[in-house]
Amino acid sequence: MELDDDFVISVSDLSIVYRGRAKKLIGRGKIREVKALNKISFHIKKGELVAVLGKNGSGKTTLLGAIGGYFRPESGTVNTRGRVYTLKGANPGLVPHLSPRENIRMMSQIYGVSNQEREEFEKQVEEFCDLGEAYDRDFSSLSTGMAGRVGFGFTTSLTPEILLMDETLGVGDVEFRKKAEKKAMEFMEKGETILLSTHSLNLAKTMCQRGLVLDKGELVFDGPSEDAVDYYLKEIIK
Amino acid sequence: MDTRSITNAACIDTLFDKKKSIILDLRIANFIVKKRNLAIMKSFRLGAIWNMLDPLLHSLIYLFVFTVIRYNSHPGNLMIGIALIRGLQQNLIYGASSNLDFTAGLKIERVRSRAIVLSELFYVVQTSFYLSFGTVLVLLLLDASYWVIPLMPLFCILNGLVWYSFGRVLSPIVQTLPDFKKIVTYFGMMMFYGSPALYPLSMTRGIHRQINLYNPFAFISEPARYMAFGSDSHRLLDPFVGVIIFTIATFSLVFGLYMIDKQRWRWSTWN
Repeated sequence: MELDDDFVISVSDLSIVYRGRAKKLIGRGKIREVKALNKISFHIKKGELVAVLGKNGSGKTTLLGAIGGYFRPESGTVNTRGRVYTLKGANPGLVPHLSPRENIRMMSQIYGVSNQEREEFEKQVEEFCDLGEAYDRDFSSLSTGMAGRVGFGFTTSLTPEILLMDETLGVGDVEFRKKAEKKAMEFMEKGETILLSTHSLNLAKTMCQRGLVLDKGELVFDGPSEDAVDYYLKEIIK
Repeated sequence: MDTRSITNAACIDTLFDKKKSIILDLRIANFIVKKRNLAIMKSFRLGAIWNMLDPLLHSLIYLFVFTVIRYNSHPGNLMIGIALIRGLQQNLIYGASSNLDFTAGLKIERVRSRAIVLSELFYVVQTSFYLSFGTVLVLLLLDASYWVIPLMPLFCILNGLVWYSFGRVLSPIVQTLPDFKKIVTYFGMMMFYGSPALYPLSMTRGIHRQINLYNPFAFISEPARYMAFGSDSHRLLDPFVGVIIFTIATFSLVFGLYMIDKQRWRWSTWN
């Protein structure tokens, strides 16, 4: 399916099935199947900030992974327009044996930061991380919170057209969350698109215009974020 | 603007700036290889120097065992065999199991298969080059021809690519049946004694020689020995068989690398 000019993400009849084979001494073990997403369809316009809500195991991470190109659909299609970056967990692939400073220098090259922009980019990430002397220690020696700052600071300082965020704003201390929210808002103000998977209903209401609610791999609600939160509380959590 | 279309068949990127994307993929491939090296070497004080020291010391131990303890009249021939057999074992096993960690943990953006293919090639070439570095030094001490300086790295790289290619063809089996990796490892061990590594091809007899006349290893080790010391065991080999073997290896390499994209897509929802 071709992507309509208005949309940057188009998901049509998307189904994802995870498979695993039971171990057996002789012969082929039985295949176990888990349907993670079932015939999901929606479209997202450029500049929209969309929350994805749902209980654990509802398919939020799988949906973001499928849009990011990490999972093979069983059926259906996903079309995206623009560079799609995913922000998930504390470490986006940084090298444990190098300092955040060395990591940012190396990683910025592979994500296309030009030589002219690099100095400013590195300064911006360092300021966001605010790690003091720890910025020159091995990445592996940082606490999870500190590592999260580096991962978040780096990814959001890049310029993806679509950013998929998986629970990342919910981690870290209060100060970090405030900074992270501010950074995400700045990102959105640039007119880029964010899909945010979260358990924080307040965050979904305040930051996002639109909400998708997933339940057992099905898209059960798609509408304004406040209504999505209400639906989630009334129909899913009960 | 770049676009991406994801279906059951494939994840296809249509890139706006093709030239820039090739440069970025080369950088990603370089990063993947660098990260692998750092993971192994950074905890040691000598760091990356161990990349060269490891194969050198390993070969020297074997050289000592097979020349001093078990008398061998030609330590130079032995050194070539040991270096190449180490390349065989390393790359065969690496090729068979490499689809377990293709992207070295990069999570921000889906790593394009082209970058993975490049990283695989860089890694094999790099490890083979390191292997040849110490070997050349020892061979020069053992009065080898100066031709070993430019040619031994090429023999080691060719050897690495040939066995990596066979490993890659076996990788879908290892993915489906992890136990098969053990069989590949034991096959590598058997090749250590069965192939003309500890002795030249001319010292083999009967069915042992017959089998080795079709062994890809012999088509690399014997010309390498000729190049270094002028040994004439390579005359036993049929050039026509050599052409067939290297044609199969080239096909395996191209096919194995081409299949990386399909394999990783197919396995993305298996656990």
